[in-house]
Parts: sequence; structure tokens; C-alpha cells
Amino acid sequence: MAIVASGTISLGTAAGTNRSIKGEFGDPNGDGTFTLDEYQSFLGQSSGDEISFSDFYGASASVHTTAFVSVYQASQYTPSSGFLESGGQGSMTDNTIASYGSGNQTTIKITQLRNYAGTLIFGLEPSSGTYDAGNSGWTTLNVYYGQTDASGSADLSISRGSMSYNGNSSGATWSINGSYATGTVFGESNTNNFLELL
Amino acid sequence: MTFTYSHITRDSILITTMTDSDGRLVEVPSKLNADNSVNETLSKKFAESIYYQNTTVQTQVNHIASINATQVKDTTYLNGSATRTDYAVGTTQGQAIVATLNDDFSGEVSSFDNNTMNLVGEYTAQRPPYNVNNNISFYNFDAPTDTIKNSFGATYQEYKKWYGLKFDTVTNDVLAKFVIPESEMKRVDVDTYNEINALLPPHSYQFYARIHDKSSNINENVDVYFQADPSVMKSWCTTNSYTFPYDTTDNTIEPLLFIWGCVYNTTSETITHVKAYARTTV
Repeated sequence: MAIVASGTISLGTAAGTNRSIKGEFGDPNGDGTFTLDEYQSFLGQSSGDEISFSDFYGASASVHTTAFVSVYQASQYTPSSGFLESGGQGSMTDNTIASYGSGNQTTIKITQLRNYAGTLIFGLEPSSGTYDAGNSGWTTLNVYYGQTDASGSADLSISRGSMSYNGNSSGATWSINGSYATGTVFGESNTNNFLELL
Repeated sequence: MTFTYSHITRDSILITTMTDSDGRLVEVPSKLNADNSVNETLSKKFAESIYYQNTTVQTQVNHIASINATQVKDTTYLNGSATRTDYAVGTTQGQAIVATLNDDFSGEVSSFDNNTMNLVGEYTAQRPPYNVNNNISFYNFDAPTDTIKNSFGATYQEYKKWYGLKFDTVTNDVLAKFVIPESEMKRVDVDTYNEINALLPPHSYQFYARIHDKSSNINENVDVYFQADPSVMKSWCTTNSYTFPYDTTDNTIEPLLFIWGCVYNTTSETITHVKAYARTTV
């Protein structure tokens, strides 16, 4: 839920949950203390830039949300499930992220979100031009199994910081080997799921 | 390719970075020592694993995806040459081997070809624990049934969704190869898991197989499978005096590679064999 577009807002929840910067963006550095400048990256600002509360009017932690259909590919030895654009595996309702990273990167598409042999892989590529956001642009990847919206609690929630990054000007992938069972993430049949990128 | 490494702290997380001379950047959570300092060796190895995962290993992944699973022809390379060819059960070659299995080993499973992805192959074993006899290898790409588990004393909590049976056509002995994910191997034998991972080169997508006989004995030889860059494997074999599995002058093999395997002997605590698997269709 985006922060209100006008009126009083607060760093904590004193002004209400839909008026709270912390409530929307969490604790970016995980230290339990909160200052305005630790939220600058969410606004496309650099550290040291001037920042004010009004900069957060209408701001949302959500980078992108979309439903996607996960397809299971058995194969021998290396089963996979999820969405892989280049392989025609599954589909994503909206895989284009309108505004990404610092704002310079405007034509990003999600190329994959899948479980390959126990490793969860998330991939982005520029629709045109080059990828220049590096290991940034989102903080948390949430997946809601069997849903077409983000209601309730996410079934899978992974922070970017816990994932390994591999990228160049052609795109970026993040992966984490948690020995994800294919039957659980994302299933051994075609399933509807919802992605929320914060 | 030249790599440059550094270790940084971002948002209180220790990160190892690696860049290649073409501008590709890898960032991984650093591997730490007991005192929470960065373990340089393990961190670099992890970063290299992630690097190849998106380059040459991805080529292997794409190769697998391009093959019709019901028309598979897999060749196993060991000790410098091809030692076994597996065929999907629906192929002409596969059906011939299934006929032999139905004649000689019909009681072992309800059907050898109910799953069109199943693989069968005839070979003469070249490494323990298999006897140096003519053998038939059968890979069933369904989860092992309770009957199979009970017959061979398998009590794992997690199984991959396939298993193998090895039929000795001379003695009629049958061995079962239970395939388990990395997490299960770590659970059942963390020492062996750690020893194997300390020995392996940078790699991705590992899993394990343990061989059981009908007396529920688990063989001392453990198989670990993974995907890795061929040049890294060559260098690693040379450094460790392991026999490279295939003839490197044959340029037709490398584009078909899809997985590597090692045999680790838990008694000698050494890798005794390195295997490479190449996939095409009949």
C-alpha cells in the first residue's frame, strides 16, 4: 500500500499505518533504528542528497506485482518449475517493470522466476539498451502460491541480500540454493502464483 | 578469463565480489570462518560457481532443455572414453533392453517403461561397487515406491524424483541407487558432505546418490552429480591427478555435456573417478 499523497506522514507509525515510512519500506539496513537517509535509495536519491518527508508522498515499496503461471518441466535429472521466458516455460501476466532502479532504467522485463533443480533463480533483462542497475532495484521477493493477488502472507519471501548476484550490461540474475523442493517451489504441475517485488 | 575479487560490507552483510575482464559482476554472501572473518578460498569458489552458473553452465542447462526427453541418448564418459550409453525406453534401442529386463528381471518393478522418460543402458562395469560383468542400468523417473525403499533398506527423508536399479546379468544381483538432494546428504552424513564439497571445483546444482543392496547395506562409494564449466573441470582434474573422463581432442563431446559426476570413496576419503555425461537424441 502506497504512503498517502498528502498530509502528515511519519518515520514510524505515529501518523497511522498508511502514513508511515517505516511501515511501507521496513528496516533497510536491519539495524532496528530508522533515519530518513537510509530510505533514499527507494526514492532514487543518492546518499547525501537533501531529503524531506514530502518526498515520500505516494511512495510505494512495491517495485512490481504480477500474476504468473508456473509450469513444471520434468526432464531427466534436472526438473524445473516456474517461469522462463526464453524457454517458453510458463507465463507472466505483466513481466515489464515500468520504472526500475534509479529511474534511468525504464525498460526492464522479468525473464525468469523459477526453481531449477533446487536453486531459485530470478532474472531481469532490459527490453532494449543496456542493464545498468547492478545489484540493486529491489529488496524482497515475495511469492504467493496458488493466488492471483498478494492477499495474506507470502509463502516464499527472500531478501536480495541473501541471494547471489550475477550481472552485466545484458541483464542480471539472482539465485539462492536452498535445496528448494520442486514439489513445493513452485510445484509439479501447472500452478497460478503471484509475484510481489518490493 | 581474468577475475578480480574484493570483499565488502553492505547493509551489515559481508559480500565477496568478483569481476571478469568483460565487465560481468558477481556478488555473493561471503563464506565465513568460525571467527566470522571472510574465508577467502571458499568465498572465491562460491563466486566462481555463481559466475559459471550464468555462463557455461547455463549453456548446459539450455542444452538439456532442447532435447526431447523421450528420445534421449546419454553417453557416460569415464577414464577417457565412453563407457555406457543410456536410451529412453521408447526408442528402438531402449525397447530392446526393456525386453531383456522383462525376460530376466520382471519382478523388480511393475513396469520398466510406464514412464517414457525412463532410461536403460547396457554396459560392462568399470568401477566399484559394480561387478566387472555385463550389467543393465535402469533409471526410473518416478519417485521410489515404498516397495523399492523397503527392498533395499532406504529410509531417507527426502528423495529426488527418480532412482536407479543396476542389474548384474551374470549373478542376477540387483543394486539400487537412491538419489537425494544436497540437503538430505548433509543430513544423513554431514562429514562426507563436507569432505566432498571441500574437494569439488566450483559447480552448481549438486545432488547425490547412494547405492544400496538387498541386504540394506549402503556402499562406501557415494556419487555426487553437478554442473560445471568444462575448462574448470579439466584444470581441476590436472591439478588433482584425476583421470579426465573423455578424450579432449574430440570436439564433438563438449557441446553435448549436461552433467558431471564424481565417485567419492568414504573409506579412503578420496575422489576415485570423474564422470561426464553427454546428451543427444537417437
